[in-house]
Amino acid sequence: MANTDYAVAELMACVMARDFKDGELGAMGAASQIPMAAAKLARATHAPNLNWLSGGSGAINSKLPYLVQSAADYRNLFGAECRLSMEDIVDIEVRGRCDFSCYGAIQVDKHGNLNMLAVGGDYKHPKMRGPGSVGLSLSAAFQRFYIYLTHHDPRILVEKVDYISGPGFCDGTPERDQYVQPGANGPCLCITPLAVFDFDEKKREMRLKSLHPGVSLDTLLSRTGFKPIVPARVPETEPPNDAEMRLLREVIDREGILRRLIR
Amino acid sequence: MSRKSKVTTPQEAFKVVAPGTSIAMTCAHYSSVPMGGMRELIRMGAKDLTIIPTPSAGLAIDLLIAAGCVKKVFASYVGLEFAGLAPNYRRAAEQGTVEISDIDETSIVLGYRAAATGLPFALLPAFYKLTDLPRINPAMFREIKDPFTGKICYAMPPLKPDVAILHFPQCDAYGNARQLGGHHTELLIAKASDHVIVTTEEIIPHEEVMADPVRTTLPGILVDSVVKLPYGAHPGSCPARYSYDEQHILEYARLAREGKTRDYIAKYITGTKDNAAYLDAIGASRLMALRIN
Repeated sequence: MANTDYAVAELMACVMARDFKDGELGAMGAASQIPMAAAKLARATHAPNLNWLSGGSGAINSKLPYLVQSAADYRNLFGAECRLSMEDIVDIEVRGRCDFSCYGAIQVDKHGNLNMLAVGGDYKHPKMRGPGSVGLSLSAAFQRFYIYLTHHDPRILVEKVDYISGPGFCDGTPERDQYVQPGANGPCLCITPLAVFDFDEKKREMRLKSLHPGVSLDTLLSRTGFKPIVPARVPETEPPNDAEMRLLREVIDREGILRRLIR
Repeated sequence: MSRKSKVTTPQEAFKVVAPGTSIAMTCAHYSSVPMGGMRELIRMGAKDLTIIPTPSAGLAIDLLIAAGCVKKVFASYVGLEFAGLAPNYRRAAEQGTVEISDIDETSIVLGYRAAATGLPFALLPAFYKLTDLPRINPAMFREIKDPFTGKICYAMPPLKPDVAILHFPQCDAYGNARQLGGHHTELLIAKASDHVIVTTEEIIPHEEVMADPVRTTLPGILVDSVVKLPYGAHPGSCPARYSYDEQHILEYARLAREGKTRDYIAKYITGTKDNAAYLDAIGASRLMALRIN
């Protein structure tokens, strides 16, 4: 049975969870309500051996039975297996041991490059100053990374980012491959409130993978600041199934953090 | 002769923060952020500070900027996490009133490590070439050649704060401190810094430390002074003691966005003479509601 009574952040968590594989190691950063919910959902369904680091708290495999706003929240240590220090987490990430991480950004471009620094060409006097690059350069160390956005807006999804904090496929040429950590394959999916994109292997550009139920191609294109590759047939994103909905609402996110996240 | 206690008053401890001092502080977003110490620095009129942060910081830096204490910020993440962008930081950056040196999580950790071990520079991986950091911040990122393979990598000067301000749930009179939650580079920062001030919820007997030394996460040999500041991380959280005060953080974020941080500072910081008066302004019922146990 297809559900219709879901919040879009719940749908995004399901898309991400389905793509996490059993036995992998994932790293979660700040304000990662959607990826944390996805990790919990994957572990409760097809991926009981999924391991995950809860960023700032240092927790490995947190079993906190509800969702919190922050991956740095002390409560993530509940039922965890180890508390790693921040510097140990950086070692594990830079070395390239993590299969995936999940990133948001203030700008994302068609090659999956991420900007958290600033918007506007004058670096000393930007139009908008972002928080800073944080762990985004590690996109060149994780085996793959997910991009998730809580707003689908042409000012965020742009042709070319103003600054690169986290390299995706850079200019689309193979040049990037010689500078990344071994096995860092770049972005895999970009998940927004409107759609899911993957990346064309040759062009290394975003390609529309599915449109969320009720979203038209015209709406998507008008709200995207670049021209994505659009295949002849674009399926609808599979809505959360009954089991996913039950886990999200009754186990993982009883407080409704995902339901309130994107309005 | 008896052993000398390092416990002192905030005024005495924070005297070392002269104009132009570079300071580092604990925090991972809202965890263990030494806000009580920051409030004291603002009351004391700290000036021209350089902030060397942890990878994920924001609240303390935003507040210090609004209070006019900051000259320069090394930035990795300066934001309010679930409460959005850091408004005072953003305005200062956009108007160019605070100098920003953009670095990031990996370079902060490796930069502190270089300082902790007394190395001339930190060595960073080649992937920085794919970012704009070397282009926009050549003072910190220099391309060098690996002498063994000839491949490129990056060098960065060590991050060596003059003063570190670190908040802990427990510490004894000699500076032996216990972090009971996540370890947010506090030991690394202490090793990298010239002078270390511990602010603590509670001063525990030295005998308690001796009875269980493996629980000491910061050794007193690295610590210069100890200041008791109960709820000294509020409105941030102190692991194993209290959670972050979401309501207060959202109030701060709203006032900061509206350009009214001055009102916040007048009400909660310059309007309160010390930590005890600040706690009175917050109120016992609110503080108790945040407690974890």
